[in-house]
Formats: sequence, structure tokens, C-alpha cells
Amino acid sequence: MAGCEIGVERTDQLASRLGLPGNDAATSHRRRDKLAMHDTLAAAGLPSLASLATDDPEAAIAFAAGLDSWPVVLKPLRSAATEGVCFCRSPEELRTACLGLLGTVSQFGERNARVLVQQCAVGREFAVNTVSRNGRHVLSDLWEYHKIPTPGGAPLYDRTMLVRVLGSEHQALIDYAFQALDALDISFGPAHIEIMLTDRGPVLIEAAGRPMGCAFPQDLLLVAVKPVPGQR
Amino acid sequence: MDRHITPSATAIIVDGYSTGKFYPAALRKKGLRPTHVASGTEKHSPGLAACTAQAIEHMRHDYEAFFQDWQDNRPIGRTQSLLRHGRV
Repeated sequence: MAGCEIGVERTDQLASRLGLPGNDAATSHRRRDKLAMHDTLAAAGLPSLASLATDDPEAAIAFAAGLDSWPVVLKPLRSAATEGVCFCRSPEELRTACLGLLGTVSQFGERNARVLVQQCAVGREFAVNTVSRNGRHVLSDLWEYHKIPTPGGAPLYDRTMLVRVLGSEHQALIDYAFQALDALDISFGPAHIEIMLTDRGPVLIEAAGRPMGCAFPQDLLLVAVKPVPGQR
Repeated sequence: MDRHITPSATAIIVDGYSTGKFYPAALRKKGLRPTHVASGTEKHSPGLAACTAQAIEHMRHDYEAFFQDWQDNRPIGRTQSLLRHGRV
């Protein structure tokens, strides 16, 4: 099992080489590359976000203009923890953000030779955490993110709340998450799927074949997930 | 211990940092023997390397075996086999 984002691809390779249960190494890129992620969902007929990977700020601007909706999101193709994510409200902001991100090195030591420009999904954001075995998925926990924008346009986590009672809107999220897991070929181990619940339904932000990050202090996590009497 | 898990069964955690650092205790409760493998990815980032080195120091007693920067999977397979058969 992968213990964090940098271990996702190696976990697949190791499982394959040792003949252990795991996710297919041939499809690892679907679970790390955020363009491949959305292309895969689109090919599977699932809601996805219009996306472009490019090394050219002018191409990014032309793509964003075609979306005809600002802001757009700019982010690294292969990072995590909201690193380098920026909401751009105009072509000028997008150009500045592209130039600022291109050529930098991510927290994982990978050069951002291209950046991802993406349609911005508006709504309530959730993290769906699951465990899978032989393609059967089980929900382990569900969280709702609350983020606030920084003056520079980056999203900042304000708070993350555990969803203790599942309603019909949550069921739609979970159903979509399980379909996304199938499309992304996550059939074994933990997964962390970030989904925006928009007016048009759930749409993937990104997914990973690993547990939710953030390194919550364990005592805090245990208190958060402690069952509340009378609630399932 | 989980009745469905074979005694001395092992589990490999790759880069068990972040939330993954909680795995060993949970796996032991299930009756699994945790092994840690560092992917070597951290070598590309000095900041990350320092961070993972510190994490490994903290986790040293949580795992039955550690593999650093693996390229050759044979030693991992051998150790898994030894752990599974209770020879370690």
C-alpha cells in the first residue's frame, strides 16, 4: 500500500514485481497525472473538467478564453496538498501564474515543465476516502472541505469537517466516487477522491491511490471519527 | 487479530509518511507484520529527503523491516518470505 503521494507509482510497480495484490502499474499515470485523470473520466462518460496541459502561457490563455468562464484553475500536473494551485480571474492573472509555475520544482522534486489549466468547478468540495479490494469499494470516511482564497488567488484550507450523517447528496457523491475508482483502475488499497458537488452534480477535482494526506495528529483524527451515539 | 488473515502475513507500506504513518499500528492489530519500503523519490527534493529521514527515525520501531531506495525487489521478496514464515 502507498503511504503517501510519492509512493503511489512505486507501490504499483512493487506489487506487480512481487506478485502481490495491487493496482495495475500500466495505468499508474491515471492516478498521478491530473490531465490523464480527467481524460480517463471523460472517456468513461463520467463528468470531468475541461483541461489542458501546456508549457505556453498564450496557449493557456487561448484555452481559458474558450471556456468562456473565469476564474480558471492553474496547477502542477503531478503534485498534491494544493501546492501551486491558483485561481486566475483574468488572462493577465493566468499569464503571470503560468510564468510563475513553469520551470519550478514541486515539493516532490519534479520539474513543472508543463502546467495544467482547468475549468473551475464551483460548489461544495468533499473528500471521499475509500478502501478497495478486488475492485470492490468501501467508503471509509467522508469530509467536507471549507477553503478560503488568499490574496494571491491560492486556496487555503480553513477547516475540514467529517460528514457524520449521510444524506442523498452524499450518496450521489459516493456513487460517483466509486465509478471514478473503476475508471481510474483503483481496485486495491486506499484511495482519496476530491469531488466538487456542483449545481450539475458531482465532478472530480482529483484522486489518488493512497490515504488522505495532511498528517492529522492521530489523537485528533481518532476523536473526529469516533462514533456519535445514535448515528450510523 | 483478524480471523481471515494468515498468521505472520506481512504488509508492505511504500513511503509511509503523512497519514500512512498510522498504518503499522493498525496493521499489527490485524495480525499483519509491517514492512517499510522507501521509494527513493525523496532523493529528488532536499527538503523532502530531510523530512522523510526524520520520519523514518520516528518510525524505526513501528516496522519489522526497512528498505531504503529500492531498485532491486529481490531482497524485499526474500524478507517478506522470511517474515511470513516466522523466521525473522
